[in-house]
Amino acid sequence: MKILVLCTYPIKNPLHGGQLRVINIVDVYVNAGHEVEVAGVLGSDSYPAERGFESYPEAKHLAKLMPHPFMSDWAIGELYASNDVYFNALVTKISFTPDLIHVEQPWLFAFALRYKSIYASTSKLIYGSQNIEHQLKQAILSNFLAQNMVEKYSKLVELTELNAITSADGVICVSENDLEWTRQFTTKPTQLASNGVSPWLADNTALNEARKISDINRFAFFCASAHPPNLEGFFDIFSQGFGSLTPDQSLVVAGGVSYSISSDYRLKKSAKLFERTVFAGYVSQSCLNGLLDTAHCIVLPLTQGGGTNLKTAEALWSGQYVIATSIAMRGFEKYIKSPGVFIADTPAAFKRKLREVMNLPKLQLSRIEMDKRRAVLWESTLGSLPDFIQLVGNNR
Amino acid sequence: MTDIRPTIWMNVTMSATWRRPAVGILRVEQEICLELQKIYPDNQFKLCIWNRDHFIEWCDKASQLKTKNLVGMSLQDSVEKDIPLLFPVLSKNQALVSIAQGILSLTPAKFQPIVNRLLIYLKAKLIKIRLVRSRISLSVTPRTLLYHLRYIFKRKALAEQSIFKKGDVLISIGMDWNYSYLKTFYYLRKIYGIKIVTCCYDLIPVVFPQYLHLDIVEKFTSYFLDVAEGSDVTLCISKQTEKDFNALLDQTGGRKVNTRVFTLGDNIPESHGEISSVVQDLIEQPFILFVSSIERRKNHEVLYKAYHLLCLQGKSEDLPKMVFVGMAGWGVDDLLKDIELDPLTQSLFVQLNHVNDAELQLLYVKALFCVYPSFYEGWGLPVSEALAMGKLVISSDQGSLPEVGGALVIYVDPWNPRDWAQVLWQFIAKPELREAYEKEVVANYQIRTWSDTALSVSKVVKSLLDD
Repeated sequence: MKILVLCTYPIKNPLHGGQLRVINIVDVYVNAGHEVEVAGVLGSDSYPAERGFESYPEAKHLAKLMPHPFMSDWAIGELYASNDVYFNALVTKISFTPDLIHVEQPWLFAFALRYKSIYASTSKLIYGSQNIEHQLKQAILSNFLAQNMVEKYSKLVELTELNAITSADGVICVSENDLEWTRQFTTKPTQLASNGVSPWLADNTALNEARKISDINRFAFFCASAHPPNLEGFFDIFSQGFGSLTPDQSLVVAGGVSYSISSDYRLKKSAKLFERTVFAGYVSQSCLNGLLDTAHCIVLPLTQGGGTNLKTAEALWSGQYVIATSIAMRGFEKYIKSPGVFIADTPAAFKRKLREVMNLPKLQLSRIEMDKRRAVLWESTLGSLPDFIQLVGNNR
Repeated sequence: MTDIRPTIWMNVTMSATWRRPAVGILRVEQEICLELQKIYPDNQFKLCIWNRDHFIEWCDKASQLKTKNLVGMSLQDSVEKDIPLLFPVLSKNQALVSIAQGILSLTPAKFQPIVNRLLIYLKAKLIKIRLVRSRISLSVTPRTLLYHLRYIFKRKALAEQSIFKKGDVLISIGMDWNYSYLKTFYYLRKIYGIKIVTCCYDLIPVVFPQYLHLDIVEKFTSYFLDVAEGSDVTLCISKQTEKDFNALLDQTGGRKVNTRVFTLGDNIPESHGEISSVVQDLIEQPFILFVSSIERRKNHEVLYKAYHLLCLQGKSEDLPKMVFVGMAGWGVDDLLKDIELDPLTQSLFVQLNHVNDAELQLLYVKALFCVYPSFYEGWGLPVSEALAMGKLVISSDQGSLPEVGGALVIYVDPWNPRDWAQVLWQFIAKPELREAYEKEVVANYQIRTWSDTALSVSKVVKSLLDD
């Protein structure tokens, strides 16, 4: 099959979860013998240019459709579906007539529908859901906007999302919860494909890079993108004083969230939080591997957002202690009672558990336990997709 | 032969360096130090002070500490230190924001957009520099082996210059939040095996930040977390303080340190001093006494309102003077203005500053009774001192206050001026009722002595040594 994958971020050098998910889906399709082309629009001016992608649209064109920056993904979708110049520009990025169009997230789904009606009427459409988008958008916007605006904007997203679900020939979801919600609106085939992680090996260079950051102290590790729920979750959990670590322990924060946290006024308002935190910023994959292998525990303080968290898969595969909120464990519920995994949903419980865990001996997981956790690898989580797209492709 | 018995060290940095008018904690440190000196033999009990980056032995006797705080204090110093600051002191960040705000506000309107852009640019630069710094500090970290070796040598060097030996006990009960030594307690305990005893007086800056003139929640939360991290035992001056302290540790994930409640002494030593004419005149008439700095938390306001209500009821002629002994602090300007201008009550309130010990003792003796309507206390020394003087006390029922006098004190809701008016009037109008209560106090109040306080500290020390 010729498969066109549409998304709003480049995937060659993936940094955040969405990018990692798409590149792994593409790999699965390619490995199953399909011809795959990736196209789309860069959803931010900070993304590097990549073949197949339209650059981030001019701000004035987006602003005409939607003034609020946190709705730019929705605005991009509207722009490329309704404006002929933009629509045609993206069409030129597509070099073949696809048999199947996989739209990751709902933003470019209206474009895909228009494209199909004009250029590929027999192709099948798959909606790749990463969240219950309107709920997530509502949570994010609530931090910045008045309630009436929040409701208005999240309604727009809901309509876009429902359009994707009801128009698609098949829907892929990341969690049982999302799947259940989605099935209310479609009778077409649906498939669960959780987020996962690629196995890694930390060599000496990786370990040394990690030690430079941690100063060989015992440390807890938080790695996340600059996605707003990561920032909010961090402060929801670690505000009001942070007594979990001793003076010779630290909390290492890496990834895009590192920059958002370090410039946020709340950091210094919470006693000891700034003192105990080391900001690593963006780190290389090798350094990240080193940090995951040398961390004493990995924290997942997520308090909002749907979907499943790639970082949860990463934390589980690291074999270190994991302290997570129930929200962070969404999609990985079967690991909640696994050895070394602790759930804490209130700030106080989370901080107490962190102190307790940081004083435990290093976690040693058995081979049997690690084998159980193989299910978090991409090869397992996305393993059902080749059959699923075959099913969708064959459906009349 | 070398003495291998553990030494009991008392950190008297605060007493040795204090250059301002005496405060309660200074007294606690000095009284306990004096009493502990009586309990332990000379060579087992030693004093130490913090000297830049390590503790050194303080060779003066504990008895000299009480006068030590005056040594070296010029009149100029004392005057300068007593002048209130024109503005509240800000954190560095807040100060930078204020400067930027000032620059922008003083810039003529037509140049404001340019200055605004410049400030935005500078802010972004500052954030970037901070980030880069934090990363640079990481990149210059020595390699693992070198790091370990340096760490070991540093420890060894520290150990060589340390006055402590393994198993010693260090008691530190001053205003430790003002000194950098607090952060060393964790390492003294963990690396050198020194047993640390600290003290928690109250959590007012954390529990009631609204009553303080600066937002110091972060500073004090950090301090309490350091206390917990660095102590073997933390003494708490009341059950309320112990409860608040543990709740904070619970909420923040702080270390659960062992705590012990110990009570402060309230025996007022006989004092001889000059009685001013103001006090002489005052004691000729009946009066009610409230000993406390004047600040919002102490709730002088409820007494003013209660008196105002009583005046409205036509009782002003029969009301005794209400005497406030204490300095006016932050946030009470409006209240003091109300008291000054209110025609109903203006002649009924007296404020006394700089009262010496002898005058205070006389005021206690001559007062009809004492009041203490505070919204919150970590202990409430004026209540226990008044009881020790055999006085009836009408007090708020909040915080630790009910622990001080138990059933011997009359409790009133600090939020309700009408209740205060009613109870005050009851005891003003019925001298026989007042006397009956006073008899109860005299017969039943157990005075807490500083030697008892020191004894309970020594019991904690003993339990640590036995461990």
